[in-house]
Amino acid sequence: MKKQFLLFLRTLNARAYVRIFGQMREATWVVASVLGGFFTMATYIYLYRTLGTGSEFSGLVVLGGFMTPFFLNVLWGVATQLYWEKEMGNLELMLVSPAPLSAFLVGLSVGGAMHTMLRSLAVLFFGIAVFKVEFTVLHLPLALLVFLVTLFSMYGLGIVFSSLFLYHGRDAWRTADLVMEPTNVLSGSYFPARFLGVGLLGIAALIPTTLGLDALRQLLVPSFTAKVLDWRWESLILIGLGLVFAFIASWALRSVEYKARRDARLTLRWQ
Amino acid sequence: MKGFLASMYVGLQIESNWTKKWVWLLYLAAYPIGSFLAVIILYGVFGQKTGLLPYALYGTIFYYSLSMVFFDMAFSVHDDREHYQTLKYIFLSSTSYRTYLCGRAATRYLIALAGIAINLCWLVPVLHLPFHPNWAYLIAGAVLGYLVAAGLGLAMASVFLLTIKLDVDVVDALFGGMFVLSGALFPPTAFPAVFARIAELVPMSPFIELMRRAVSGQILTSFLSDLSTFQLLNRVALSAAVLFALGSVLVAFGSRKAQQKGYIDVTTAF
Repeated sequence: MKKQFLLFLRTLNARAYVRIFGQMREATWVVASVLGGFFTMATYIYLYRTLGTGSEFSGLVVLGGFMTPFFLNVLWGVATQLYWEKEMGNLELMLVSPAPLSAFLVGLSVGGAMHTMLRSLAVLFFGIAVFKVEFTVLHLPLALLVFLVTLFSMYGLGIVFSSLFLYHGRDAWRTADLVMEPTNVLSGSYFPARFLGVGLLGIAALIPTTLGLDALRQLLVPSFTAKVLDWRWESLILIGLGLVFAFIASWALRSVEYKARRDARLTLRWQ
Repeated sequence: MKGFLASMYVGLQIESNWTKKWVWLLYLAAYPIGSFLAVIILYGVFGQKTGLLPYALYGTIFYYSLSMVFFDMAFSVHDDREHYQTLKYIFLSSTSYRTYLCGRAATRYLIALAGIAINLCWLVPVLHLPFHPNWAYLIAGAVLGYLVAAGLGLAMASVFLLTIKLDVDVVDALFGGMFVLSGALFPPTAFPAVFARIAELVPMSPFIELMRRAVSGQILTSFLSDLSTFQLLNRVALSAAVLFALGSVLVAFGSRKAQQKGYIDVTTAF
């Protein structure tokens, strides 16, 4: 048991290391992703200025810009990762090794969250500096806690999807590409999620970013009033979602891996 | 021409043969929704009184059509070299690499336009968008728009040919910057004066404005309103000629240099 646990930790550490330091080796990757996030943020801030909404919307957009790289990392860096490993021929090596696949995915998530943090903080910094956005730091420790709970839930969802994408081929990549923008919009990255209406909000609440962002806005933007629920309730829901996703992920990973082995899809490339 | 058509066919296969035909048709119709969903929500909730919804919606969907060409050209270098490892075979074939890129991107552009057309069928009546198409301007604009985007895409592809670690995030960042400045989503009058002036010079701006007028039959805002539709067409034609020529030169140079450096079949697995 102890040996298995140590193996889990070592695998986690090994995969997280590659994600954190590998992504730092090429400066253009960091610069481009920060610039991309900044431009998206700028687009929505100027749009709100055109629409004549209050200045508090700039704060909402900057927070959305801070969370968006995490969402993209979950989608492209975790959910589709096993598909990419399969395409590159690494998956078969991972599966014949004694390292558990779940440790690999948790390591990917931890490493992904850490390297994305740098980019997100840079986007946040430029957002605050360029657009003169003000946040309250009165509830900063609570905001950090809510942020960590949101990440736990988001990366849990990413691992659920990674097991599904393990079985699939190019359709997985296409699906991720198709859902990326609508999911990002529905999670209220650039506007308060409450404006989605009850029906859409019910669907959007299943995306952890939706409630996480809403809670963070309540804690950090003093003039924010368009909340969905109280941030305490939202945090509890996020913990619940995270646990459910973790349970589903653990079950799905085992059953999809078995199914993929049975149907000989683990080494099937370019399909 | 034969090579161009064959490349279009390859593009169609890459885009569509991952699933059943009916699923792909649904995908084709659903894919552009992501590009304008935010516009509908934001202008629907906060901007009803501004009357800018048609401006933003048409602007966004036509920008989306260009981004497909631009992104496809840049990404296909990486995709063919790293993922499918077929770039060396494309270089060995009798079709020039520029023709191949143009053919593949043309398919992507037509698919994007088909998706836009499908979505306009419900967007126009549901959102009461002005729709009085001038087909001559629309078709001429669509062809010239392709050349504008292809010119930029070829330039980007040449950069990707000469680098082996560059990520497609660079394309996203560049296109994100041009999206802000092009006035696709809102009139650039919201910018400080310098940026508003730059917005008029972004190659996409006249194309998007031309297509807005060609579809709606109206001048929707004061942005570029001092130019007649014919003058806009001329400006797009000039941009298309310059950018496509520049892109062609750069991709020819990039192809030659990449072969000399041994970058055609290199894989990094990053």
